[in-house]
Amino acid sequence: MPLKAIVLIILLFFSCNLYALEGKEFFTWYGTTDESITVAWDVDLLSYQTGDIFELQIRNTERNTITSLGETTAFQKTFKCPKVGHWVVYGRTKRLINNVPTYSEWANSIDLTALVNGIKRPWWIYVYLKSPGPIIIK
Amino acid sequence: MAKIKGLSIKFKQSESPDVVTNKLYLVEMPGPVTYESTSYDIGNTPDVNGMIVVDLATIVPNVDGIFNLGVAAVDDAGNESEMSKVDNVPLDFVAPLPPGAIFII
Repeated sequence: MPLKAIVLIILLFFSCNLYALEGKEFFTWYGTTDESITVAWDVDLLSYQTGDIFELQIRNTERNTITSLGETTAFQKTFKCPKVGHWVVYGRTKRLINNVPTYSEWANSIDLTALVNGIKRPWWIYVYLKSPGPIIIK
Repeated sequence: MAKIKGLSIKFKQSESPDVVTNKLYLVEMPGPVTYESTSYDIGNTPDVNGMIVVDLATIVPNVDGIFNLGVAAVDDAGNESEMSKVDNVPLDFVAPLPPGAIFII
């Protein structure tokens, strides 16, 4: 049976805006590049096997770059976005069958199956630079 | 050569890891300081306390007036943070004219 794609969920972040584009509503979660973001994912329980590995990436839409977040057997990941801009989270399941890796399809956070507060809604992350501290005149 | 009394500002550097420099914005009162104001690259070299210190007399020599200032962090793509601002800063880096010639009497 082919591996089923995971469902990406945003967990902890700072603020969000509901944003509409081409008739599709999705959330923009925003904060600064020094702040941590936690995402989680649901798996298809009929497909999931203990030891399945989850591979995560974030993709920057402005720079068209991919940043690997590595692999984990956990069901959530905390990370920081390294650059300013809009980021889409991608994830897929990896299973070793006779030591040969097999992968599910990539899921992404702007897919209609992504979840925000339990509601199917695509989301992405916008991070910006944290401003310097207050100016002190010497 | 006249002697100019300096004035420095300092601020804590942005905590964002991808900052490559900072910009100082400056506009004479009463104008609000914006990203369209005159700007100067002031680098991103903090002292041991994480503060960036800027000697304004070297950045904007020969100014005399009251200014609104802002500083913004900048990343490698040129994106800028929100500004930290301070208003009503008197800057006077213009020395008065010298007195007249000295006569021995």
